[in-house]
Amino acid sequence: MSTKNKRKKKQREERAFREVEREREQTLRLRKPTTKQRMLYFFVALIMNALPTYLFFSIYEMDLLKSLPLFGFVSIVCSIILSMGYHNVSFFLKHRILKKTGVNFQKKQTKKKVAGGEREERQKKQLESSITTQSVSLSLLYNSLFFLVIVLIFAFYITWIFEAHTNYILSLAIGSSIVTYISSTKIQ
Amino acid sequence: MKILLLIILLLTSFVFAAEEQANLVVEKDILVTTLPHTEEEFTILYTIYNVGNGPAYDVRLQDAENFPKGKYSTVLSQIDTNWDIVEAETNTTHAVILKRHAVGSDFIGPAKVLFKNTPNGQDITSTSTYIGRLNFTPKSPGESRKSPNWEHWIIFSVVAALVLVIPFLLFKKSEKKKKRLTMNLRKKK
Repeated sequence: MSTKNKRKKKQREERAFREVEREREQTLRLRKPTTKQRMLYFFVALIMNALPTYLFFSIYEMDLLKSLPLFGFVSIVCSIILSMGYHNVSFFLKHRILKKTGVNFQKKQTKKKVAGGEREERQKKQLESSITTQSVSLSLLYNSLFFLVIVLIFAFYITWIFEAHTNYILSLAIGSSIVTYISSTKIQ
Repeated sequence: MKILLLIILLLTSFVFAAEEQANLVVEKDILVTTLPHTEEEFTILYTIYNVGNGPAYDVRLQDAENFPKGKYSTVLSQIDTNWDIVEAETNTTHAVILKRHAVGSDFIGPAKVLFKNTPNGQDITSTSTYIGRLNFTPKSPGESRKSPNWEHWIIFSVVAALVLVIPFLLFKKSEKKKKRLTMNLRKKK
């Protein structure tokens, strides 16, 4: 092979490697939730855990004051598990939507200032933030609905034979675990 | 002679009519919509009607025999109580909330009410109505689950719908913005 062809081949390989690295960096950037996102997921998960808690204390007649420590502990643990599920789905959706838009979100590192380049960068940022909002809101909607359905099925049809406290722990724990597990399989 | 007898009879009837006497009628009732289970509270209501023409003094209600301490415990108030006076043609009530601990069947008999026609008079006993046989069974875990509980489900549905509507509206809003921005960026290319 001539040196010219060898050089061209090497340049092609380097370009492909850089492309892969860019994608990996973008993926890694999206993979970790920001503090704001973490707080939002946890807050929404806490509300979603409070809804079945209301049903247990009203329909299964669990004493609210006596069971408050149990409600608090189980709600917090299940909210943490559920918030991981929220982020998994949000990450998966964002990645998919970004690819679908067909817009290159990487900053062009050129020495020359391109006309209208700053405006384009601003629009890209706005687009990325609206895609983030879209993926987060869809993830919250989908996972919350899924979680409620699973908890209600377990609480009233499967684990109802147990005593109220055991039923509460099982239904919420199983619900949040299933939602998070299924969301993690989507990413894989 | 006959007139004398008539006068004597009339006088005695006036005397008896003037003598005020209390006459207590006591009703004992259980205030539940369904039969109570073990460890479930139920209310017993005693209503004492004085249908006589005189006040009843030192009225004492005694019913502890029907609810022995080993099987029952009082949640609110007490079973035996007393009133200083129950005026004629009035009534008074007394309620007690109880709980039974053991599974079983009991015959809830009548309560005893002791009173006097005069403050220092002799005790007169009156008995109340009775409730009858009550079977106390343990509450099954599925029982509250089977009842409709409409109001709780409505509250749950409304709050869940509100919580889910907010992300849906956010999604719709961000989708419109995304479409607009994507079209702008593609035009420039």
